[in-house]
Amino acid sequence: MALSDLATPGVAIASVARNRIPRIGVIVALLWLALLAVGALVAAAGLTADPLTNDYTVISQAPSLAHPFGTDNLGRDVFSRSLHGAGSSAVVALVTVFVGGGLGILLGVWAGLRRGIADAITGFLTDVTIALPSLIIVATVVTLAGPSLPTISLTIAAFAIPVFARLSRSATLSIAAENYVVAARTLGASGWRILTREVLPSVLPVMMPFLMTTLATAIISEGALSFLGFGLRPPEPSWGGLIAEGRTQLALAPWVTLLPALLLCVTILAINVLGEHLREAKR
Amino acid sequence: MNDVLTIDDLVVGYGDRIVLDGVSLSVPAGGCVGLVGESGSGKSTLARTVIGLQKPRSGAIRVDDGGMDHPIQMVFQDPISSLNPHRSVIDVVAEPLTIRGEGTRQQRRETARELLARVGLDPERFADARPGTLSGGQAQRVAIARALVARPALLLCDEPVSSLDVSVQARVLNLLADLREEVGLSLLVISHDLAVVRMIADSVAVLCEGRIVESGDTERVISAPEHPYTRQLLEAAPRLPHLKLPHLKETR
Repeated sequence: MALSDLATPGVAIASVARNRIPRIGVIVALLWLALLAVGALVAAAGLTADPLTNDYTVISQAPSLAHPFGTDNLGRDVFSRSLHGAGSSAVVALVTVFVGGGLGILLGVWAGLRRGIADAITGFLTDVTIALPSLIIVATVVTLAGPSLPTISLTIAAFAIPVFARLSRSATLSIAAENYVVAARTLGASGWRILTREVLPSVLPVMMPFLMTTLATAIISEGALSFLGFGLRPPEPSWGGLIAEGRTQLALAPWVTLLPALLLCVTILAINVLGEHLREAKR
Repeated sequence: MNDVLTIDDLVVGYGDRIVLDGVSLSVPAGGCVGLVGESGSGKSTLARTVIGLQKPRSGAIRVDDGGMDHPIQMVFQDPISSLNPHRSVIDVVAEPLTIRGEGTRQQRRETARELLARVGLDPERFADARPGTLSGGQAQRVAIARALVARPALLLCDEPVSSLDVSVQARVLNLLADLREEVGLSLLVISHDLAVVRMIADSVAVLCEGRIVESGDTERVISAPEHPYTRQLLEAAPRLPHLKLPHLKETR
């Protein structure tokens, strides 16, 4: 692989970098994400306190056994709301990676293989799209189409497409020059076969670390949108929304903001640790 | 005999630069023609043009294709990079059949195993290996097996052994010579190394700055070069090994 070959001269650097993420860190990160997934599923199955039910007997209570993350100013269980929010975040993150990343990579590999006019048009469109103020456009779309989970996920995913297209195009250019791609052409392989069987398997490992980073940025984007009021409509829990709601009670009940924020931070950290691990493993 | 490949007055250029300037060359069926020249003489451009990766400005390339869609197969200088690193050796070798949709998966793999054995690689040991784990010589054998599976009319070898160890070079060249006899393969071997061409080719063409300056029977050209450039190439080469190698029996 041409790209990883470029990294080989720095053998000493690579072996130091390899140790940067200790194995235990990777295990903890995986355990955390698994735990969160189980928690989100348990919450989605309705096995935790109802995230939308107000309970005026337990308003703004500090974390306790009954309410591990405490309660907010309407007496709702913050822990349950956080787990439900994890589900929304996971949907946004996965849709962004699979739809946005998938379409973007396909587009980039296609453009990189076709070159010529197809490449020029794709390049122009990605440049223009990357230059657009994404937050404003996402906010507008969400306002017009209504703040549903599919709308938010797909809009965030759409803005991932050009970035993936551009990165995978440049990865494709170096791989398309490899002799095994030339060999497949002389064997008469179709364009689709060369794209999926010869080039994509070499592009995907190069894109993996960035796909992981995108998981994290999609979650953060959803959080930012919710915080700004363009996310899921309030009582519906999402991480950004929880943090935004708790903001007004920060002095009185800091757990309403801080614990979901901590959950968000640790999750992003776990994803980034895994992404970094993949990046190192590739060397 | 018929010519498998006929190149007629081929002109190829990039931008303002003319890389091949009126090259004519033919490879008889079952024959082996060597094309020698320094780097920059246009050898690789000729290879790219013959397999259709580069469009000529003018001239013609005719292939007696024997009814095949892709009658010319190529063996590359860097064998490792000519094999997809994400596939097993058996899949790489069976790929020409997979692309053409010939036979069942089982039949294709069986053919691939036979060809692996034919090029001197134990199918038991190498079928499931990844190309990255092979040595240069092993990888070149896999590439040759893949080319043979496609049943080409002509095997175009672009510096087939120049990235291999000297001891492995002779074995791979012997393999090509054997295949030529047994399968009736026609070969066009491009090399900067006269010794390589001398070991395998019946006739040789000397390419200098995009033109063929001398061609003819290999021994004649090497023992009595007419063109100063050929003499220069001969003098630049390290002492040539004597005549053809005895055919070593393959152990690997």
